[in-house]
Parts: sequence; C-alpha cells; structure tokens
Amino acid sequence: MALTIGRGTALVHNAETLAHMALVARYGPDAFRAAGVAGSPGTTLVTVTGGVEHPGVYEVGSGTGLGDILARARPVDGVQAVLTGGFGGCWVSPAALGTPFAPGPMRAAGGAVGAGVLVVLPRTACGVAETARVARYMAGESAGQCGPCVFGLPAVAEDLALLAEGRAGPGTTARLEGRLGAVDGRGACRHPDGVVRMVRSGLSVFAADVAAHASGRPCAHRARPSLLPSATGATLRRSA
Amino acid sequence: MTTTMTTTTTIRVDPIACDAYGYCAELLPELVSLDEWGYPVLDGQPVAPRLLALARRAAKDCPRRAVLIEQSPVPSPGRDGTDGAR
Repeated sequence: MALTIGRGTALVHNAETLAHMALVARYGPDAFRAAGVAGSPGTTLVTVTGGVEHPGVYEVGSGTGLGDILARARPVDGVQAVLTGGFGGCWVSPAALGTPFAPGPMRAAGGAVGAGVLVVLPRTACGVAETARVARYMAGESAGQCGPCVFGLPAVAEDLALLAEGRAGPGTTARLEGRLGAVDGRGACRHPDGVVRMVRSGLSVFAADVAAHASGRPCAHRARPSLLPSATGATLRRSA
Repeated sequence: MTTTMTTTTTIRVDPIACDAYGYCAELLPELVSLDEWGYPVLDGQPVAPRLLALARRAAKDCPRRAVLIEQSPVPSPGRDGTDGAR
C-alpha cells in the first residue's frame, strides 16, 4: 500500500509481505508460485482459534480449502459455523468448508479473508450468544466519533443479548434489523459497517436459533465461556 | 452534442461534527428525518429549489456546523437526445 506523507511517498507492507519478498528474491518467482493457486499464488498465514485442539498460526497455500485449514488445528466438537476474516468478518456455515481460502471465492461464499483469522464455533456453543459477545466487544472498540456508531452498536449488541437470553419481545428481531440498517454506512469510517456485516451474517447462519430464541427459548449454551479470545470475559450484557 | 451544465444542490451531514441537536430535521422535515438516537438521516436526493433557502438556513443554524451544502454540476439533457450521463 502506498500513501503520501507530507511531500514524500511511503510504502507500507506487513511483515508477511516482506518475508514473501525475501523468498521471491532468493528462490525466484516460480518457487513462490509453486504454492497457492492461480490468481492467488504463494502461501498465507492463517490464525485458527475457537473450538480447536491446536489453536495457532498456520502457513497454508493460498486457496487451500477452508475445511482443510481447520483440520490442521483439529476442531474438537464439530464445526457448527466459522467466523471468517476476524471480528469485522462474516460467519459461514459448514456448507462453505470446501471454499478455497482466497479473497474472491470466500467473498462469493459469504465469508471473508480479512485479517486471516478463522474462529471455529463448535456444535456445543450458541452462535447467537457469540455474535452478541463480538458485537459488544466491537461496540467498545468504536472511536466514539459518530452518533450512529456510539449509540447504535451497543443497541445492536443489546438486542442480540436479549435474543440469546430468551428475553426478547415479539418486536426484538425486527428492531434489531432496523437498527442494523440505521447504523450501516452512517459513520465517518467503516467500523460500524463491518460490525453490521458480521451481525447480519450471524442472523443468517444462525437463523433457526434466532427464531427459537425469539420465541422465548433461551440458549442452553449461552453461559458457556466465550470462544473468542479478545472477547474473553466480555459479558453478554454490560449490566449483567 | 451540446450539453448545458446545471447545478444540483445536496445536503450532507458531517457525522463526526454532528451532536444530534436536530435543528436540521425541524427546519427541513422534507429531507431530514431523525434516527432513534436523534441523529439525522438524509435521503441524498437533490434539494428542490423551493427548499434551498431552508437548506441554507439549516446549515447556518446548526450549532455544530455539521450540515454541509454541496453543489455539483450535472449535465442536463443534450440536443442529441442522450440523457447527458457520463
């Protein structure tokens, strides 16, 4: 990425790109292209966490199937869903496990490569409760500059928490969807948009659970400790 | 092939500056509604000529100077029958 600072131009790379450049310089482009797929050559670093036996950072060929990447970290209680691309990414169902982990195919499957983070949601966890925790965490990450983000994201997280706890009223789901529309695209930056995308993907992937919780059945798994490392300790509701 | 240029006026809100005073929605309910937290929601449509004076007043009276009036030239329909779109 190139950007202008004062009268100069700065080239910004992450450490992974610089490491790739060193390998290309030493062994040549063909060796680099031996891994990965056409259009997305080389390898990529993927962080796999959540319900897996061996959480960590894995180097995989670009375009490796999502399920093959997860298998290296050994999921423990099956795969109910995967949060792809980090906290501003998207939930995908196991139907997407055959998707090559590269930006184009992941986008087409409703997922995201994003920060290269994959969080496995095991069958023993509640997707609605986890989505609520991520939304709560992301609400706290707001820069606090724009009203729709400052007030909207906590309101979205609150509605999700009510659903997960089985305390939602008849209008909660509709109110949540209205609030997502009211926040989307209304900040000066893209932070709220990423949260809206993540929550909408959760409402879609966990639609059956959302409907069950909305009719007053709380989730048996809601009290389970959070799967999501940065959200560890995050309660479902700020006042809980 | 000739196209004449006209100007459309739109209003925009600087979301960082805005503090939900709500004057813009009071002055211009035709163009501005408020969300549940009191922040303005605009439809992005050009300001109709009859509302221009009120739009300017909304910009001038906003305590946070968050209402921005923007004028952009748009090609009007040309004589060749095209819609003038780029």
